[in-house]
Amino acid sequence: MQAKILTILASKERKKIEKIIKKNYEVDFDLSNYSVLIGPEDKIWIASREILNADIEKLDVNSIGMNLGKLKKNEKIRLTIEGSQLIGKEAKKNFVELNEDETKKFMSGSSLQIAPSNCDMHNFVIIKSGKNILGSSLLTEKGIKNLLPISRRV
Amino acid sequence: MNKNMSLELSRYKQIYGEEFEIPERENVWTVRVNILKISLYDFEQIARQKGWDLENVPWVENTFWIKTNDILSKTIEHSLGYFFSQNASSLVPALVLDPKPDEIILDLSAAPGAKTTQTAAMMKNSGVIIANDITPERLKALRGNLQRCGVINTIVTKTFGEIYFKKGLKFSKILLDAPCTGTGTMNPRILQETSESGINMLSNLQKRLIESAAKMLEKDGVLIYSTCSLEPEENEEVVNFAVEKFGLSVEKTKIRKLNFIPGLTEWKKRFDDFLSDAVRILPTEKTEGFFVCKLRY
Repeated sequence: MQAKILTILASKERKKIEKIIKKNYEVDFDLSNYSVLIGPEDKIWIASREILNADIEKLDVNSIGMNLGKLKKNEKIRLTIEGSQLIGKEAKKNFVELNEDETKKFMSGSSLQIAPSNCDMHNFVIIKSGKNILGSSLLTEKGIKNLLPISRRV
Repeated sequence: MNKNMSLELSRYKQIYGEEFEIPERENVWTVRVNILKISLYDFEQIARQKGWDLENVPWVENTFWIKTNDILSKTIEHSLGYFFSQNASSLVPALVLDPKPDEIILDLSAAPGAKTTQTAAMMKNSGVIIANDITPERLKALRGNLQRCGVINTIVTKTFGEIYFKKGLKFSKILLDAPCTGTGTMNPRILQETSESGINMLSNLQKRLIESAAKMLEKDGVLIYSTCSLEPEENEEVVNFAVEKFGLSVEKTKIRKLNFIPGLTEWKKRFDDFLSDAVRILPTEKTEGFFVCKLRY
């Protein structure tokens, strides 16, 4: 990631992202607790508020903070595993609960032929397994298309 | 033991005394629970369910030696960022650094991120860590680990230390876990492949790095220098260079329940007497050899 093309978001833009999270997951996620940045491919990064105290202009920045997710068309957001973990606990829709076998399959990178309720078709759904939140993936007519990054599969 | 390793052993007996032996490594994982993502209680519950045999590492919180046949780095819990697997002695530099939540800290040679993620957890994910490294592969690993551990207080940078000094940046706390031979791991391959010329080459690099770090240190600032090397050329000699050239002073370090010996004050030449305040962890069945020194400007 090139920090030169990372932009720190103002309050108004942060609120737009909060609105997208609310629309998709019915969660009131308060981004004012973070510094929020947007980068290439509409990726959203969150960082500690104190990040702005650093002399960023003088640094050869490679990345800042943690990737929350990526904004997608039609006001959707593809959350990273970490973004899902932050938002997923409170999610009231667009989440799926997996059983033990499904969890193993999902974590190995397989797609799942299941038809969850309370989820929007062609949207990114948060994947839960007991207390664990495993990430988010795409719901299609064929089931859950696995979007778990290869480096995080087991 | 092959001929090369015998030679290495004789070198270490010369440095550390006749009683030095290469320990038989115990088949045990060391795991630091990532409290940014999971409570200690919840982790212990998971471990119990999975039949992992936990033993507290005495000198650091939230860390266990775990006996199990599971490959912990290939578990769901690892993938989800609930823990970081790192050697117990490598936890000491961040303990000595003693980071506070509101500070701005420079981690000069940060990849792959074991100490950075530990520092972030100690700072409760607030304040700022500038985590620097120079090679793209190592930066990729660093970014991956920071993401997996849910670290948000870090700016990853890619530059040579002296560049920041030239830009006038100063820090009150710097961690320099320098690239080293890794002989503290007692890995037979490393012991076989390490030559005295290789040690001296790294020693020169480490001197350049500590020079950059020393120049970026604010008045009264703290620099932690560490390596996982057993070689005095990579440790005491490097610190002695910083003491003589930049007027840094070595401060005594106390870590409760940690077994260590004082830093050396002599190896091929005489070092500053205060080097004995440095921490030398010798390899044991469960821990790698490590060197840690706290310096103040």
